[in-house]
Amino acid sequence: MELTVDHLGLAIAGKKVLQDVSFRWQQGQVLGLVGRNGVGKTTLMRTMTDQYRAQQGGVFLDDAALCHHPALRQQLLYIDPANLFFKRNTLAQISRYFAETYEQFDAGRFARLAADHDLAMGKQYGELSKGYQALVVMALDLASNVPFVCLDEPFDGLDLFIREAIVKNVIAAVANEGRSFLIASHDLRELDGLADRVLFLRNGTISHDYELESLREKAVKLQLVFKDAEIPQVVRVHGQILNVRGRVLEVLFKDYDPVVEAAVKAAEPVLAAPLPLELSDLFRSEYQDNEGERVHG
Amino acid sequence: MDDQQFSHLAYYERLVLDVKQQITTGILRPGDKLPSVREMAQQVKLNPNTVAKAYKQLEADHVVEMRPGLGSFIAEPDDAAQQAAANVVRPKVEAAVLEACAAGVSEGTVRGWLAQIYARQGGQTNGIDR
Repeated sequence: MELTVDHLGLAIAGKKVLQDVSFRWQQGQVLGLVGRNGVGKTTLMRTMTDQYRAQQGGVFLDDAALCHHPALRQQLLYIDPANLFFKRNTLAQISRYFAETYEQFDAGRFARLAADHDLAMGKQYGELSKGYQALVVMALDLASNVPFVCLDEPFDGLDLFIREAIVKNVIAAVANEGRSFLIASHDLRELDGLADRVLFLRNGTISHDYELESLREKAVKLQLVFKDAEIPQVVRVHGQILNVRGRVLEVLFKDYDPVVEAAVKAAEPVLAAPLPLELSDLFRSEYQDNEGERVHG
Repeated sequence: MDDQQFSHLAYYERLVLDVKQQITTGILRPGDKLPSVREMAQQVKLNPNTVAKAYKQLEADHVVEMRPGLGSFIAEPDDAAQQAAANVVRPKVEAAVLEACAAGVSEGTVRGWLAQIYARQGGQTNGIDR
């Protein structure tokens, strides 16, 4: 099964929020969704699940458009943390609502997951702490048995153990059930390693779609020091300067092929050491708008 | 998986090296069963597809053998496989030594480094000199 978001477009009050958003999401894949605050990550999830009606394009499951086959919406779940209808309900009531909406919802599993976290079914959702609320949402996501699940900032403001519990739940659901997750998060550290691909949202569209593991095979982040203050041509052309501390440059080379490697060596750096390439580096390179260049005048 | 040495590599490559290192240090021995992909993914908190890719690489390197229905096991050292692996590694070592030469590092220093690296691996090469 594959879910395709095809040229999705949305304007709110005349302002284009989403433009030509397209990506493919295979079952069993974890996609990260990142971008600056307010870029439209939540709006994208809301539009995919038809809380906002797309003005352009649509969402397809295999080849069927979700807007023409409403029954297929049961295959895509987004529990919108900002618009929960069940804040005043008990866990038992929430479980009943979900069972009515999602045919495959497993109430027994939801109860077991709640019990695992020592949560009584008579508890009201709104009375729970932030961490427990996050665990309840995760338990609903899992028990729904919906193949495609959107998670909106699932790690936000949670302690280490709850974040770990959520990561482990996602990994287990992918490995054991072939479930698929789209995770919008500013927690780049948690996304790194968890996501097969990371989508970068910028100016209302997907500006990059990275396969992190493949990228790490050909990209490199180097700490470089050159004799002269002048930054060599190869760094300016093929690299992106992420950070400057005195004469020490941190440079990302997305395509570090033998030609670039030879050119870097030919520039005779005093120091050239590989550094771990993290998702935050890609985020910086995507959104900093050549700040490194500016710093260096 | 927090091995600083390998942190610039892809996660699957790190996992491959991690397992290989555990073999050379004797933590894992021939015939030992590796955790399943899903168990390993949970343990190291990595995407299961990444772990599957690492396991495939380990199998291609003849370090691990898949026994259908049973799981992945550390393979007995196999002469032909080790020779093949050595053939792959040799040009990499040559390139590194050439770089050391060009940087003016003496042979004695390089030998010292090699001795240190081998010592860190528990002195076990479980192989034949070639």
